[in-house]
Amino acid sequence: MTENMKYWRSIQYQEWTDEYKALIKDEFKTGDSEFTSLQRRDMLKLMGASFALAGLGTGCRRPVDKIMPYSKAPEGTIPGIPKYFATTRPSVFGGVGLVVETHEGRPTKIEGNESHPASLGSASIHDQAAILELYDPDRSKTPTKPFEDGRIPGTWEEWDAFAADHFMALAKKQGDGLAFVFGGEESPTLERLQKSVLLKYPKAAFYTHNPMFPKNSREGTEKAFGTGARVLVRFEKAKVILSVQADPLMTGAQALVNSRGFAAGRKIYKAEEAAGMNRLYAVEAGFSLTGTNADHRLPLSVSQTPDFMKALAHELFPDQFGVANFSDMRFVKALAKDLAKNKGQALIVVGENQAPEVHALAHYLNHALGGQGTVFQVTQAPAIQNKNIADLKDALNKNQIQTLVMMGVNPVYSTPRSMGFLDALKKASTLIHVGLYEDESAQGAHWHLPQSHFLESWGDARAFDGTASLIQPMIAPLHASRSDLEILAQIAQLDSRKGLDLVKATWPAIRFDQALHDGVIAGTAYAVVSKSAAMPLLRQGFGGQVGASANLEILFNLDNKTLDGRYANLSWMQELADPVTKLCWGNAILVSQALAKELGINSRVNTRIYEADVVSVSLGGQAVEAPAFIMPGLADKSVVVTLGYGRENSGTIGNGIGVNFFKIMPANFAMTAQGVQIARLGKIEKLASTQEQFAMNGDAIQEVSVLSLDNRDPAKLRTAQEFAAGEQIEKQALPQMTDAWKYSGNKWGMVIDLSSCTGCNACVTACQAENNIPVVGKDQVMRSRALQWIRVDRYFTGDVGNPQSIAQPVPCMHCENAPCEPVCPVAATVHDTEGLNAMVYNRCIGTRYCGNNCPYKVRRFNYLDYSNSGNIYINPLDKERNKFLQMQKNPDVTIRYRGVMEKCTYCTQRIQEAKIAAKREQQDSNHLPDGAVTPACAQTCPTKAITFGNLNDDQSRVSLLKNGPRNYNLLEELNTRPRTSYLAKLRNPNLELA
Amino acid sequence: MHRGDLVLDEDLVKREDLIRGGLGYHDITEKVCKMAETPFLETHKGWLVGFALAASTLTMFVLAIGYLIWEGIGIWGNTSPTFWAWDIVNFVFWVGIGHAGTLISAILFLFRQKWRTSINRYAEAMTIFAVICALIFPGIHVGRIWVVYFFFPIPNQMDMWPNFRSPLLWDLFAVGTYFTVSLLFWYVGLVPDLATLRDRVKNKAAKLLYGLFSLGWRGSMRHWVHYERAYLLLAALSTPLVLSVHSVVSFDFATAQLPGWHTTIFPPYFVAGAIFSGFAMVQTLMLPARLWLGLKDIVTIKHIENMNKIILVTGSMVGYAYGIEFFMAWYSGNEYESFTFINRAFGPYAWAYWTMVTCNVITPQLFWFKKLRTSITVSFILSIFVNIGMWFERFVIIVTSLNRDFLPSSWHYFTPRIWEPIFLIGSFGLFFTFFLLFVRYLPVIAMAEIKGVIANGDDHHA
Repeated sequence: MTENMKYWRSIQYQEWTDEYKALIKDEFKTGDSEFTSLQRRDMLKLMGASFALAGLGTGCRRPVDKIMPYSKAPEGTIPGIPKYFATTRPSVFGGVGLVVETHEGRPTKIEGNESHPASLGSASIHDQAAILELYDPDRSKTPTKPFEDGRIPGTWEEWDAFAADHFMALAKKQGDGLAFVFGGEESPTLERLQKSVLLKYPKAAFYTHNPMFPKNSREGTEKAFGTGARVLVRFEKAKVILSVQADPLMTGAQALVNSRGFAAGRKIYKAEEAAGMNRLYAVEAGFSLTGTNADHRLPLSVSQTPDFMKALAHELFPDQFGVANFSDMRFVKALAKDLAKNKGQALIVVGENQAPEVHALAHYLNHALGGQGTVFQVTQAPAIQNKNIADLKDALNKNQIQTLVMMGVNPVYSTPRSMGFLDALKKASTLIHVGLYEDESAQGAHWHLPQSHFLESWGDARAFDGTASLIQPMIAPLHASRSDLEILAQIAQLDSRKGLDLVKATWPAIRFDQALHDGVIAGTAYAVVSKSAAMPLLRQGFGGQVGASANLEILFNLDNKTLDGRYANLSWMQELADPVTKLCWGNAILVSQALAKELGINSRVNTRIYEADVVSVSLGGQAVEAPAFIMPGLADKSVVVTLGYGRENSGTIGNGIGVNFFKIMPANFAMTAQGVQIARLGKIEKLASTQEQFAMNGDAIQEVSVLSLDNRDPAKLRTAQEFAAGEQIEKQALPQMTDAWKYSGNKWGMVIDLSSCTGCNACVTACQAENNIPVVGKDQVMRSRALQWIRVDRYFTGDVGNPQSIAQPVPCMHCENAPCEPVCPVAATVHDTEGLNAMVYNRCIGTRYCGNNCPYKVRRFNYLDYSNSGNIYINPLDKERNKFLQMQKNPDVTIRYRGVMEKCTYCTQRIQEAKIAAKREQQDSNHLPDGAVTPACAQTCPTKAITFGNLNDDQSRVSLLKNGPRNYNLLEELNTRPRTSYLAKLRNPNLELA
Repeated sequence: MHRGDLVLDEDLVKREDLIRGGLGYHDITEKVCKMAETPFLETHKGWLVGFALAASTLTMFVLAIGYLIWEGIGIWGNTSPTFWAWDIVNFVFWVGIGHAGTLISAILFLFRQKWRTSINRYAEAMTIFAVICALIFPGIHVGRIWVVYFFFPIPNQMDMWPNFRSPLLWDLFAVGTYFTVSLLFWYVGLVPDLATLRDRVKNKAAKLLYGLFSLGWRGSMRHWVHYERAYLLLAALSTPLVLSVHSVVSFDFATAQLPGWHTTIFPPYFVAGAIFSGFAMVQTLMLPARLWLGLKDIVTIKHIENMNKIILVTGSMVGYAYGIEFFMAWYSGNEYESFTFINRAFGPYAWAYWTMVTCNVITPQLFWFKKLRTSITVSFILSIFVNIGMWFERFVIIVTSLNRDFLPSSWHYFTPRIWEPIFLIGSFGLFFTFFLLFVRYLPVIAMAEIKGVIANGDDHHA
């Protein structure tokens, strides 16, 4: 420090030695806890020894925890009774309306809002994981500013003082040199505040940065239907759906809605309904969730897709489109025939990696097929003017920007390295970063301001169809944070800077409490217009995309779990198995088996641990090292990577997990590129997966395909035609040695419709949130100890080059003849009076015999102390992390200690809640009405594939389904008499292609 | 008395003597008591080295158990389909070993197989220690050892019985009963010999202890009458236990519905296997001991050959059982069962299966040759093979059945971690610590009994 130091704290401070600098630099370091750099085992040894010593002297006592009663109870709060509030999760795809369960003011679980058009009562994995984001211990807790090489905490007062001066000065310059970059989430209040900012700083510029922003699709729509036009698709009305390089069931604005609509056309309960079943074609280079659900799937590289589309256009309308050169005309002809046959009910959706022209062509075809108004609608939204990140980089490089405010974005991580954004950023003299985390972009910022989570702040958002809804806080901010709106209001120097006032000012004319209650603001959807699509200009190459080439192409997809990396620090997302690859805790470069052979990649499968060959992936002069994962069904010349991993400043969970493919992404954010080079490095990396893969080597393929599908047939796969022809799902009449137990009251049961299930994993996250299921970490997943109570099994069938994939969610079957029950020596697992196979944690001593004897292997054992380990098995004594995470816990569900078995309970706490509610209303709690109890998985299921209810009630939905022709029991021949049964999966193949 | 005088002794003329070297009553007493009577400071160096090794291994075992309880059984490699692995493999392995002792003592006693007297004490001690090792594993393998008392049918505030339908509970009773009866049987047999030691030792403390445990034995006719009666009764009581205990252990598997476990052949197959492994372990321990303790004349080549014959018979039975399992897997037409057995022999654990078959079925067949079964070296090597093979048999049954069951989605290859071998080796530490203490301080040969079978004619020069 300087010689003219006026005040000093100590001699060392005054001398300002390097040693001392290092000392104070780390003194209040935020973010990573230092302890986590210790190996868990070292830590444990240390702690074990000290605890043992401490224990010797002091004896063991339980830690003292105090429970305080309310001295003044908040109005309407009954301790122990949860309350539910509507809110909205903002997203670049459009806000999703949610209902949040809160216990004594503490939000614990997120569900969908039935009245919201983007939710329809369901919530995606990301919507649900937002609760964990709220309580993430790694969130930033105070404003920070640079200090020496690192950062130190500041205070909001300091910021306020700084902001007052700084923005006053900027205002004098009309805001010259001031720029903002937003995440592109549409919010009326944000738009209003942006206008206020412009009033104050007329020269200020607004940019949008979001790797998830559907740029090509918006441009394509505007090409077809004019500026501001957006297309809403309605799968429920469609008879034939073609998905081209898209994943409409998993990503994008309408994923939940599309899933619901798609499943609606697949709920075939009687043979005579089979003719009405919809048919899904997928043409894709990767293997998307939509692809796994397709009746016909054509692996096709991205670069060949425009030709495919042209060929299809020609087949459909030969008088309008010329002949195109495409190889697999058999597929195209059959497809075109099918589309043409179903005019008015045929729909084509195109993915983001296709140029806008391809989107425009698809819109034209959709329109020409007569689907407007039924299978799709055109709405008119205001055109979006914001400039993008490339413009921002240019402006920075031209030194046009001195003060840059980054609002909830992380461009330092989520821009291609070749773009050179980080260097451009250094040109700004004042960088202000507002975000939930002190992430990569916060590192160089002159001010990092902690942003309030949407569950702790006021706001609003627009859904994909324009419907606005309010965001209301569930809890006061956990940390010293402010919402983006509040900070913007401060910058705009508005008088009213409280979030609630800001939102109210946007919506002066509505019944505010009604809008809060409903979770939507009525009548705010964009107007549906009727427009004819412009005939697309079919240029050669479609926006620079060339035709088939010998080069390898690479696809940059958003990760199904971490998206663009924003959820990388959420352990629920990391541990969730990818719906298609079943990989967790990391990403990989997916290659087809043919390509792997060609390149000599030989990833050995050691069952759930993949010893994957590490390859170097280079593109445009940039290279990364990544494990190669052999994936069936990919186009031979396409490799697929997902963005969203390899974070450096995401927090304890996400740091260093996986590979950051932004590093090799082309500078223009192209989601696909040609000419990628892949070379084996001779190294091996272990990948974790929750399910044994089949496409690894010849033996494994044989085993799984022969056993699981030809003989065991877990999904009892049938075609719609077979079903219509009355083909029976075989059922066995098994002898019962004793009379079945008669349940006088409720007798619970569940049916899972495999035709509806898309395998999206929403049920897994719902269960994890509802039932306090800990995350165990990569090491433990590789030891096959993941704890999720419901798993989604994935089976492939058919050719390795182009297999079909089947998803099968497997919760506890609650067998009537439960094999787990007689073997427990201490009777810790028993039947209850309503037929549940109950697990008594207090009684369990952990012999694990029940797990051995469960043919479905749905029992989960707490091999280690997972519950108290900071949501990942890093360090069981890291109580600091748990302090936040335990606030998420559902108080109605026991936290399991190590050494006990656990499993799906059919959400017994919800059953109890419903029974208590019935009793309160003086109704018969032993005969609850149908629908009174909905387990978490069934509640959130986007396709409503899971039905739960009372089997004693002949008219309950579950009874009706169980009596239907598609019902079957998994492993029925074992005579376990499961209560959870399945409806056999139906496919609807086009017989011309079969 | 001349041995030609009595018709009863006629077979003795033809047969080889059970005890050789012309040992008389006194020689036997001297030979057997020598080790126990050696003053502490003159303890044999070899014994000290062995004991130090065993005791250190035991210490490691105790520490490992401490860590296991502190951290949780996740320190092992057990997974989600393979909920049981080395923990239960070790348990069954040790219980199996614990079979030979009582079989030799009780069944051979009832069948008047007099050759048993040279080895029964040794074998019984081995049984007791093996069962102790066995009992440790189910104890420590549970998730919550601090509530393991839920297992026992003791009155409690929860008003809960254990679940009598669970084979694990039957197991507890079966092994517990077996242990108790074996211990009593062993101890009753020890009483006259303890009295001998009491009468001979010089050390006061030793005299007191031997005196205490010899229960005032004076060798009077009345004592002998009661002793013989008690011994006979205990032998009769133990006999069914020899057969029941491993049958019940096999129920742990046979009553489960898991393919590879759910078979009716298990009880006889397990008992045969247990006797097989027990005799092999007796051989493994006896062959070096008779050398080091100078008991060649008491434990003769005839004993060794007899035991090898039993190993050959039981080994063949075990091999037959392996074959029948395959036959039934095919004959039953049950695809899960067929898959399990194909998977055993040709799946990822084929190496374990073929290790088992080699050690248990193929190598014991060498005992058809008299030359080999009367060779000390061959006997010792083969006994080690059988020990290894029988450990792998339990591994194959438990792990290969569990790691791939009905739904392929649950399959997971089990890999042990560093702790599994530590626990297995640690249990050997416990076993050998007990065993070395036994060899050092107790009569390793049933002196009183053996004196009844020596050819006390001309040769005897008391």
